[in-house]
Amino acid sequence: MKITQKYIMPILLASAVALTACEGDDDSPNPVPNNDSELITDLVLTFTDADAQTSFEVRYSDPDGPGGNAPTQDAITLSNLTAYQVSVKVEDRSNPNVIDDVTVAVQAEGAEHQFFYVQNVEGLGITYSPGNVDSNGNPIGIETIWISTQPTTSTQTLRVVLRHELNKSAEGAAQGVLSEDVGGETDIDVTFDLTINP
Amino acid sequence: MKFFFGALLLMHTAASMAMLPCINALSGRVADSQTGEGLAYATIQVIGSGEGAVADSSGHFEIRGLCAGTYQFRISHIGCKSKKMEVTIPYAGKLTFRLAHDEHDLHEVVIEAEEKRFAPMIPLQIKAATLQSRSGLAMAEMAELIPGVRVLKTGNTVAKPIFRGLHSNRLVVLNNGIRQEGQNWGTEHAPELDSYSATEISIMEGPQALRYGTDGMAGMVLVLPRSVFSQDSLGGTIRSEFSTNGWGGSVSAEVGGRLSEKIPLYFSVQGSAKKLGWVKTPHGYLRNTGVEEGNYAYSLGWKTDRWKASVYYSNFNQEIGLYRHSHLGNLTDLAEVIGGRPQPDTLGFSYEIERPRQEISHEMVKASLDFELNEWSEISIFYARQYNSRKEYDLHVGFNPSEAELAAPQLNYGLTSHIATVAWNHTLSWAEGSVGIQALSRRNRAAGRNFLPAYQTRDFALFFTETMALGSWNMEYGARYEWLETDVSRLTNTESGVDYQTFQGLAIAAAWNKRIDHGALRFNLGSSWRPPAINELYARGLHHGAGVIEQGDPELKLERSWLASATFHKDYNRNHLLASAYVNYFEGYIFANPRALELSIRGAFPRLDYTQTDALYWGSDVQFDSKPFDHISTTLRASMVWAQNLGNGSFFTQIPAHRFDGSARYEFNDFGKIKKSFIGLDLTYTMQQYRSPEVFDYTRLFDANNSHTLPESFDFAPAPDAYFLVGLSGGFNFGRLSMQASVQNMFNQAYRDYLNLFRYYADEPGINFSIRTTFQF
Repeated sequence: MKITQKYIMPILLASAVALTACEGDDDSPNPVPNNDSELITDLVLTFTDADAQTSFEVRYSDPDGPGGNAPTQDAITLSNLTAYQVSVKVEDRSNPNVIDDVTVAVQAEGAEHQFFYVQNVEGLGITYSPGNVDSNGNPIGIETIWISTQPTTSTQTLRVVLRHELNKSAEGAAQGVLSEDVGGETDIDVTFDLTINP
Repeated sequence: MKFFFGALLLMHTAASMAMLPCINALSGRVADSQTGEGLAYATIQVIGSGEGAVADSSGHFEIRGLCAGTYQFRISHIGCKSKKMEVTIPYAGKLTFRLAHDEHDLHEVVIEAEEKRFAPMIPLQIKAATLQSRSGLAMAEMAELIPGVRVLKTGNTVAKPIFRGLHSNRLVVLNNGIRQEGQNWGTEHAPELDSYSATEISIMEGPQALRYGTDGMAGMVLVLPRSVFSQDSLGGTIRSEFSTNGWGGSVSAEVGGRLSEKIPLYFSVQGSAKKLGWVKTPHGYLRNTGVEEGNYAYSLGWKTDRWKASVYYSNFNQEIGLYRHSHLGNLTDLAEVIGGRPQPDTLGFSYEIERPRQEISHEMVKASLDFELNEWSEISIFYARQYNSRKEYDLHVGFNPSEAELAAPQLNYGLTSHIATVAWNHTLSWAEGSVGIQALSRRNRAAGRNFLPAYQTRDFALFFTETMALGSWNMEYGARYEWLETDVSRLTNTESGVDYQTFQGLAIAAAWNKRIDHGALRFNLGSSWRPPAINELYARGLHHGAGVIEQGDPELKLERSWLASATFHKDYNRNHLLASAYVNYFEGYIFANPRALELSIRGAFPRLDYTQTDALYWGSDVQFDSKPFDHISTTLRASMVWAQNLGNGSFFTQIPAHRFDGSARYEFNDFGKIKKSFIGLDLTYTMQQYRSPEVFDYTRLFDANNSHTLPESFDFAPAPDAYFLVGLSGGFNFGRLSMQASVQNMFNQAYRDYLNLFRYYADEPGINFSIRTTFQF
């Protein structure tokens, strides 16, 4: 019986401990609201006509994220023969009480991010502002200059793409050419209708 | 009675069985050599493998799933000298082992023919000895040896079983008699259990499954750990596996037995560990495809003449890396990868597990009590609690993540469940069966990315099953009524509230088994149902792994299946045939239906809405074993399944492509202490899935005039080409040590499999050498 006790007691004790020390005592009654840390819901292009001293905003908004309600978006309407300073802003408005400006973070991680502006019909001169560069001197694309030289005649679109972990030294990337060699992963891909009035 | 044993005893030699389910049974009785009285709870053990059985209170025993061959059995009983006997399986008759209380008095084996009425005539199972040839692999990959079972993969680290084309919400996995409760709705979520703990994996089809649930739409997968009562003497097993592809392996140890002769207390302890690094395809290493696992389990049991009580505890912990370049931002990225964009890394080998990754743990406690009421009936009670934790870490954590954001998983689910069952089992000369009630509760916590809500469910069920012997026929039938209620916390950033729903229904099944000369025939009919799963009701948002927006529908109704299947097996001299065919009709089949292209800030994604249709699955599995010459055995197998959406005639995704495999084996004569040595060749041909959905032309996404319509069913890439794989294996036994070496994909072929969710991104693993050892003590 001594041997019995010698073996049984520790095992019974161990099992008692194991049975009471289960990990999953997850009985918090109220689940916490979900929070997607990577969510971007809004993209705003702010157009400033330096000569006329006017500015306006074009917004893409999907506050409930992918799925659910459809996003809303404005169209881009520009005047011909005009130079615009354009800045892009990305926001998380999933919680209407706390609007998070994600542009700051994109700027801070500028070396890993770049905006691209892709037209379906070439007609607008879009160049990166020389001042908006990352630590390697490559453009980030938050600030751009758009010069309109001819009115639109057919349906034209403008696609705004934000890539991260891309190859910024791919050919043409510094000039805003989004080729396959750029690679990386897409954070934003939004297409606006574009009209340039005569 | 010879014809009856022909029905049970199928196969030829142990060697030919390594690729086959071993399905012979040996039954008999252990008796006192002087009085002839049955020796209660005597143990019968196969020397060298640890397989065995414990006799019941009257000394009767049955060992199932034996391979054909000659075995040494050790028969022991308290107070008796244990005894070794050699028996050749198949054994045409019933054994009585006689043990003497006087240790000098050794006795003969007396053969008494006796009919065992209720043994399953066509069991689909694989046992410890065969599982050893796949040790270290995932449970689903082991189960693939059972006809009808295929494997659904996500990369090389996640493997889920498919039975007759069904998986996830439609296939129940029972671990030690308990429904495995995890996040099994996800095709990239594998069953959370230690494959080393299994001594037997089998498929349960028909009325017997009604004891466990109504939602085994084609059957259930049973994973049985070793019974704590399986042996009276102390003994154990150490197993290990090493693979060159991934440069790693796993090791497992288990020990158990009866603690003391004086008291009937039994124990068993088992643990395993696994570590594998990045896997290599013929083109290079796949970044971040390692896995780490650490598991343990133990059990205690107490057994007297009338009582049998046991406690089982298991703890599973796994961390797996998901291929780095499987995580893409949008369909443009996916299109470029499918179009052949080279992946940026040309890295070497590493063990590192980085993002994206999954951290999974699963804990189970089970307490069970069997109490014999009288000679022919017993009460069986069990309770189990499970806790399943799943944490998924996405590749990216927003912009400028803080330390806290980096540490927090982007998906975090914790599921706590409780199951309790009380059943009354009876065994009469003409019938045996069970009647019982079951209660189940689940509480699921959800945090992180907004995809599924938190919820609670409570289920109550009543069931009965009965098997009646009618001459050369026996008939099984059963029914189960289940009622459940769910509370779903719809708590998101924009809405909150609790949805309350109830579901109820009846599942029924009946099977007829007919013994024929050297074989058996089985017909099974049944209707099962399942409530819509949580993802089907409430999923909402981008499914990052799949590149689609999923939208659940809280209005979904339950899904019902009507299954008819027939199975036939027969021995023809040196050949054996096992063939089955099935038709499964679904009413209200729930699936993700392509609805529209939906814009999001990341670009357009196909939106899939969960909806219901009528569907039909049908298929056939055939296995033919042959032993054309002494020393040589061969196996040919075919696995075919078809599925169709009857609503619009389209195809579903992830339906297994037809597969045909064959193996041949040469067994050498024993040479001194080297026994059971063999070499084998394995060939597998998997067809292209020619019934795959339409390939979706993603360039439409970038077309400004796109009308945003989707095909009725679609896929992003065509089904991969057919492939042909060759493998070799060899092994031997040396005393208590058994060794096997094998090579898989020996021509280092680059191929992709339709059932791998990562087939868009990467090839399957290339050549792999592995060595497996088993040591028994």
